[in-house]
Amino acid sequence: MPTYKLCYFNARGYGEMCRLLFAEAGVEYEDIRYTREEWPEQKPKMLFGQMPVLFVDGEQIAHSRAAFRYLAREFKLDGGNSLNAAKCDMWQEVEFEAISKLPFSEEDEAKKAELMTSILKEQVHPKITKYEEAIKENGGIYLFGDKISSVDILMYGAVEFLDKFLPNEKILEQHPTLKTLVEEVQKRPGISKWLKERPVTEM
Amino acid sequence: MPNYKLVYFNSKGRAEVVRLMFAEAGVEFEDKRVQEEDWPQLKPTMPFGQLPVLYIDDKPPLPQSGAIERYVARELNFDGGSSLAFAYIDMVCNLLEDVGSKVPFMEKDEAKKAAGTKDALENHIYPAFDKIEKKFKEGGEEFLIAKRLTLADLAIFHFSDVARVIDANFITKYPTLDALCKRVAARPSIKKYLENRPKTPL
Repeated sequence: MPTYKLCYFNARGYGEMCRLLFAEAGVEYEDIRYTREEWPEQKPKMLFGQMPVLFVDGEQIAHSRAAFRYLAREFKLDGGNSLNAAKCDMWQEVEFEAISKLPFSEEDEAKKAELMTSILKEQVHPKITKYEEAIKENGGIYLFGDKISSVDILMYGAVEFLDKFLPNEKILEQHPTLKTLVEEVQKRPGISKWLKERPVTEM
Repeated sequence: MPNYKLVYFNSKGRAEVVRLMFAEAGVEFEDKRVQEEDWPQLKPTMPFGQLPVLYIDDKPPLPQSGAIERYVARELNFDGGSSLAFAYIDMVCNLLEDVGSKVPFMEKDEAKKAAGTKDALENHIYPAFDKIEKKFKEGGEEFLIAKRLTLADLAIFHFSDVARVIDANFITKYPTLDALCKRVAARPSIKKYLENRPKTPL
């Protein structure tokens, strides 16, 4: 097992998806959280001047999704074969695309509200529904039936994010299959321990 | 070897790196290019209403260019031969996707588009390529990762090709990467593919 170190800010943000994988797999790692004051000194040390960065025996893997896919592979959470790994990938891209379109940084409040509603309606909800259909097709709780994969954990993270920042949307009330998935992920021994112990942060 | 059909528009865009992998590996595939006028009818039949998709034998189509690229790279041995090497390759591809996405190709207002493109180049693309060039030069290797041709080299090649649309001399600013792209283009199967492929700007 290599030595792992994850460097990020003291936030869930883009670092949490990797932390959840470490938790599920029960693998030790150094969970480094730099403060805003520490960041200017650390920035030039990061390969592309950004975080999160996953250090694997001292080598840097930058870009949260590349690190996430690597850990999913290493921890055998990528569906067990090449085609399933591609499906995990596909859902990860779909999730990233949908969430990225949400206009959190729009300054005009009226425009923001309008765009938020239309993106949720046209992008987020239909894609969640498709994910639920895929789960139902495989007859189980997780995407691949009864075996958890990285993308189930990613979807948990997405729901956590949406519930926090769009609480009025009540995502899980609209998506019962996703609700079951989220509850199962929260009950996983490694993940439930992490959820109790992790630093509580705004983002 | 499964039967592959790649469906995209008649352009390089998000399908070209996959086409380059098939070309280099000498693997036959159906290179389906959808005409603009046929797209509205086809769109609702696609898993997420988007292209490219990859059909693998009789399986449902796989969408998302990143997922397709990574799958084909694994299947055709462009993944660097180890999990860690593939993570580096993934990182390079993600970086290119990230900085490339900052260019407002779809912006209709010409002034906004020009300003956005300049910003993307100066604040995202050039800094990223400065770093890649520096590391690649220091390493002194023939290829970016794992001492062999991988998805990362093809992704850089494709990026440099398309970047000429927004900066005609783009890759010449990065001599080591420029030399890599020339080496990629000179490989017999790729050279043949480049000569024969439909000519489109993007």
